[in-house]
Amino acid sequence: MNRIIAKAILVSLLLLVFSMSQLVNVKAVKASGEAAAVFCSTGGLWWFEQSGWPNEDDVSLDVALRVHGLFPLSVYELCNYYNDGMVTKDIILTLIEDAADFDYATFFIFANGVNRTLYDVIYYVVGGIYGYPLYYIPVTHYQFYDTYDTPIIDFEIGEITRHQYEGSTIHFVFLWTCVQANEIGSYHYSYWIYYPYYFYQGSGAAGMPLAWTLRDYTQMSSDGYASPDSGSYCFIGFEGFGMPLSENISDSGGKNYGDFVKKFYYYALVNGYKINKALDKASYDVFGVQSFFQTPLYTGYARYLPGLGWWSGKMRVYGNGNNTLPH
Amino acid sequence: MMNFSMKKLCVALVLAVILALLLIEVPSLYSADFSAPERALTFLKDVIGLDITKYNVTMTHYSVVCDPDYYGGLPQEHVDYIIKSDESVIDVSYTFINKTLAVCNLYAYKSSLLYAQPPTNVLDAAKSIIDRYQDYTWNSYIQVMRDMLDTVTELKPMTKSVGNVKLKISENGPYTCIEWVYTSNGLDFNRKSISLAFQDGTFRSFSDSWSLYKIGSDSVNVSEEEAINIARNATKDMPKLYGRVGNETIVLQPKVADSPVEAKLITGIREPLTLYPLWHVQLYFDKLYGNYYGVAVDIWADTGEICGIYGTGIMGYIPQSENQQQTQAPAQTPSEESPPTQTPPQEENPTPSPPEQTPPPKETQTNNQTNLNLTPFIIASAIPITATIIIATTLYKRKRKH
Repeated sequence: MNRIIAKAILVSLLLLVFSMSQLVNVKAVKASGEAAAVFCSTGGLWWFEQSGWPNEDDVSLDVALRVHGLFPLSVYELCNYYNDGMVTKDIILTLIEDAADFDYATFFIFANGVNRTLYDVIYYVVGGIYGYPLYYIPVTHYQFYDTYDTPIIDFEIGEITRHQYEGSTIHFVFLWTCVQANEIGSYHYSYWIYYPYYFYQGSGAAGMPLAWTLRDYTQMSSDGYASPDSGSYCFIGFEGFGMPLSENISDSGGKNYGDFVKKFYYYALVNGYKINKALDKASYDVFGVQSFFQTPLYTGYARYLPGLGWWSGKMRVYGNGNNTLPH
Repeated sequence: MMNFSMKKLCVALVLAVILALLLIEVPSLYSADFSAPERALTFLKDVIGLDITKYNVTMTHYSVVCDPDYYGGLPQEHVDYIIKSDESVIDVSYTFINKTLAVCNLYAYKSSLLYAQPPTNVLDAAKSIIDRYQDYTWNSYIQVMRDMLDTVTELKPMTKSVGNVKLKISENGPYTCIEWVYTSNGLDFNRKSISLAFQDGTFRSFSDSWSLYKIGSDSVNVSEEEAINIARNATKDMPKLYGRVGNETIVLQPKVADSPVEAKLITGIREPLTLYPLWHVQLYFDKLYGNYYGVAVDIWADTGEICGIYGTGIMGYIPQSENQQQTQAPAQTPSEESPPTQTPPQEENPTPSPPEQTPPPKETQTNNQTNLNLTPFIIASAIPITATIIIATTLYKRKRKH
């Protein structure tokens, strides 16, 4: 009888392993090389009727096209470009998953984004079944939108990258999107508090830099520009609201924030400069200051929004700004 | 006769030598006779004061570009060096515009800089650099700046003007910046400046655009009130604003509010490398329209001509219903709140399953926002459990038959 039960358990375990392997995406063969993806989402974008005024959709499209054109195809085996209707959540998440096939992957994404509150929950467990939730612990998560206003949430990205054996292969992310760099973030795990009665159900990756790079706030420099760490990851985004690419820099003779992005990628990919150096060079060309730390992007800015009061924002560089993009 | 001729010859020779000496152009280190890479190294040694002999110097990049959209199409030379010693690795990056040093950024990756004569403090370092820069460029305007620095006893945020030069000292985190800006008729021409920055007491960057930019005009012939009126007139017929929400295109007609309004007198580039006074007028809408909160009008303050009009907005996602109804409470950042309810906000555990009997959530309503899917895990658990039961039952039945 014991042998029969043992056999049954063995067969069950084999079935379990088989069924799990269908669910967990394990990359058996890891390819090498570099990949880049440029997205220009128009979700939540507004534009003025033809009036000669610069419009965000036109400027962002131009910026994304130029940036994409700067990635050398001799270096980047895969160089994807998506704009407007092609920018869907599925494509973005698929490309994040596909990044695991490369040694190095980088993303530039223009989109609208927000932060939101989700909740970690402590459950009281009765007889192996979730009982009632005892506590809700608020956790700030972040999301940006595809062209169809579908949110791409940090924990969804984190669920993909955290299954990569050797750490995320996405080494540089430039997210020109509101609030996605409010914090580096941390992983909210699920675990038994007191087995088998209390279970903590975490809400996953909370924070975009963490979600993309799998580096939490203890592993990444909070100012990768002024004091870069020694890691291989860098994340650039906005704390608070982001500047529209089409907004003019008044004293510059017609340059806008989009020109800053184009110049940054030019220096990073054509001259092969480190991220921080490319930021400095772009700052001189566009803002007329010698270094990035003198730009409003680094020092911060505030705008009065009717009905909402003053909102502030600044660009954040997390991780190691001394990294270079393959060029 | 012979003597007289010899004398004449000697005088002629002496005169010729003197003339030749006068005609010889002693090339300054700053002049175009030296290439940008040479001048870059000289700057590091003779102005910043690094002891180059202690370093192994390698040029890592050199390129020349002429971009008609920048600096009037003048040639920009980019020169980069890595200089290494046993104790330090330094990356130095230069831009020369029209063969003149425009900007130098220095990145010390390891340890500190090795100076020929180490400065005692940041103020002394700044004074020494400006002293040496004067010798490097032979530009007379540097002396005024140097003299102004002599009046500073402590590096703290301040401004001070002498003639057409305004000294500005500012601090921002680890950075201390000393800047001399051209000022005239109450206007700061920020782009025409010399600037020196230190990070945590170490030299970080230098720029000189004093001779790069020229002043087109410093006359302010348009008052603040006139500028605001020009801005209001220019935006009388506000273009409509379009937005897409789902499959629907929404059309809004923004309305400029009477107040608030902001007008700032700055300077801007009208012709390449030429600066003019500029009114930057920010008008606000009566409420948020999509992502837009207002419209900015830039007006040349000497002529009253409009330089540019553009909508001003923020990135972010402000739901139109909230936006139009203006019911959302003031917030510091764009956010979308989902308050706690009685049901768990997330139905799926996105982390590894707890040991043994994973308790499924009691309530399984799908949340569109979180979009978590529990199905695969339920299937994963159900398959082996069902199989175990079937196999065990079959084997048990067989056993009983035997």
